[in-house]
Amino acid sequence: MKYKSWLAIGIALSVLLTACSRAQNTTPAKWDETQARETALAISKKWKFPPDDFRESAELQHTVYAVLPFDLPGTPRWILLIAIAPPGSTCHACAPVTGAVIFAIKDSAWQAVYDQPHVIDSGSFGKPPRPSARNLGPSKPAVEFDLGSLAQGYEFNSSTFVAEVNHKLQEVLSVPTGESNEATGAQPEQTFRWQAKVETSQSVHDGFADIVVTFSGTKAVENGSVISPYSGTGTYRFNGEVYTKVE
Amino acid sequence: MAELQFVSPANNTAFDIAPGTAATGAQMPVIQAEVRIAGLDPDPTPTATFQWLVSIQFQCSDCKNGRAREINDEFSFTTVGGKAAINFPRVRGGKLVIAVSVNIPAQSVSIQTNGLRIRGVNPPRDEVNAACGSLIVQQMVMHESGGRQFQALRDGGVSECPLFSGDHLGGVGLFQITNPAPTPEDHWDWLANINHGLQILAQKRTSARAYPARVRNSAAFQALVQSFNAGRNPSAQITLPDFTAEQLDLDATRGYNGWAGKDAFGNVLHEFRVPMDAAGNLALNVGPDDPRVIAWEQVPGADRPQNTGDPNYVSLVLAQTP
Repeated sequence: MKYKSWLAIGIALSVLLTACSRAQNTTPAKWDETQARETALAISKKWKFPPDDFRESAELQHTVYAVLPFDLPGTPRWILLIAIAPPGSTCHACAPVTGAVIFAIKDSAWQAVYDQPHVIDSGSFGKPPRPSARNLGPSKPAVEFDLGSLAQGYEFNSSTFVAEVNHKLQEVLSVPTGESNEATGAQPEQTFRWQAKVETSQSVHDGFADIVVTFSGTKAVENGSVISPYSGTGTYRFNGEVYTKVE
Repeated sequence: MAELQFVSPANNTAFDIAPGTAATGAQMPVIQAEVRIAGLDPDPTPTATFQWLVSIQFQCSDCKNGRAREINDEFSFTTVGGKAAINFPRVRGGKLVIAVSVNIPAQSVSIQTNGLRIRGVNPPRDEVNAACGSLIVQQMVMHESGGRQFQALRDGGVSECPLFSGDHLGGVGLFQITNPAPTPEDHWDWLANINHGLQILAQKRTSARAYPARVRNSAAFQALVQSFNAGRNPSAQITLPDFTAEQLDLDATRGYNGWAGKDAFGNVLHEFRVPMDAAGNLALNVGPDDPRVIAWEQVPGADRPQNTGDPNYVSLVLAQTP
């Protein structure tokens, strides 16, 4: 009888310990953005760049400018975007290099799982384009970079998509999303403006949804002498490396 | 067996475009080239007629931020004897090929160089400032390009690439000429770039000068004045003045980047606006008999479109040290 009691206690303890252990394993790791920013900055300061990236200066400044979700199905992740540029690099021509550090849960803790020094290098006045998280498919997280540019009164907007291809972040599509000469101060009858909407479609190739760009407005034609209606749709399809226009 | 050989220049030589001065602009190098015919005795080189073809090829997309655009140049000439001083008719950089051919009895022989390059040199800051003229234009050039024509350090830096804009729209050089599309000279001759920028700026100044009258004569502004005077007897004499010289400078500077946004009268948003209160009425304090002059109000960066260009363009230009 005494033996049976001890056995029952032993089994109960074992069940309790197992339950505790499971509970510990399933406790979600706590995402600490401040810590992640520090880690990403430290990683970025070890990056080496080819001479062409920064001919003007050997000294570089690193700034984390975006923290975006970058989840895979069942795997939460974050992408931290870092702008790298020489100090005082704020001229119109100046664009920082954007690098990235990806965080995921590893050994029950959020860790930097990989990083890439050079993701894109566009921008103006020393600032990178505006990033936002965008899924290009059920398991294709991406970053959309929106760049608005103005020079001599001509406005130009574009969207650039960066996604993981062959375990590497790369630009998969860059499309113009708007253009206007209104800010030149020309007479209204000489001005044009068109804008585009960029959407993903249900059609998927290699896991990437087709991207449909619908544009409308007016545009200058015949060397700018005539303003004409401008509208249409363009579909872009992933070919295993990048998106190309479907003719 | 006769063959043609280059005595000079040696393959893989880099030649630099001298920046010159604000008076001369960029100066192409003069290349002393020499070929000789080997393998014949007596040597016919001194009396033979040589055909020279000089070509420069440059692909903008080979440079950081450059778009796909070729800027090529080519010219030919003939010499008697194997020596030539190559004077370039236009300021261009890129890959340089010198091809020479000669007809000698019973055969034609030819040769061309390999790996020659022509590079740009950033002009001295004093020369850039002299070419710009006024302080505000010097500051604009600083804000546009950091005082650099080429992708190298300011004031003497050497590069095979012009400085292209980080928005990848083909803007180039000291003034970051983007629209209208920059000329080949805008890419390689820093003085041509500045002069083109000054020409665009002059057009912006003309538009800036016309703006106050456009507002003054608009029905919307007159309605605003009428509304202001409603119930006043006698009516206040409201004057909307032309821009002062300083205001004109600042508005033309804004126009160089772009007058993004709209004013209250349906025009593009200039550097200055008619002061209005939250309800959209003229913000003006007048006595019953006093003719009043409206003071143009500088539009703060926060009231400008935030997603295009630089809302603080003018104040950042003024903060530059040329």
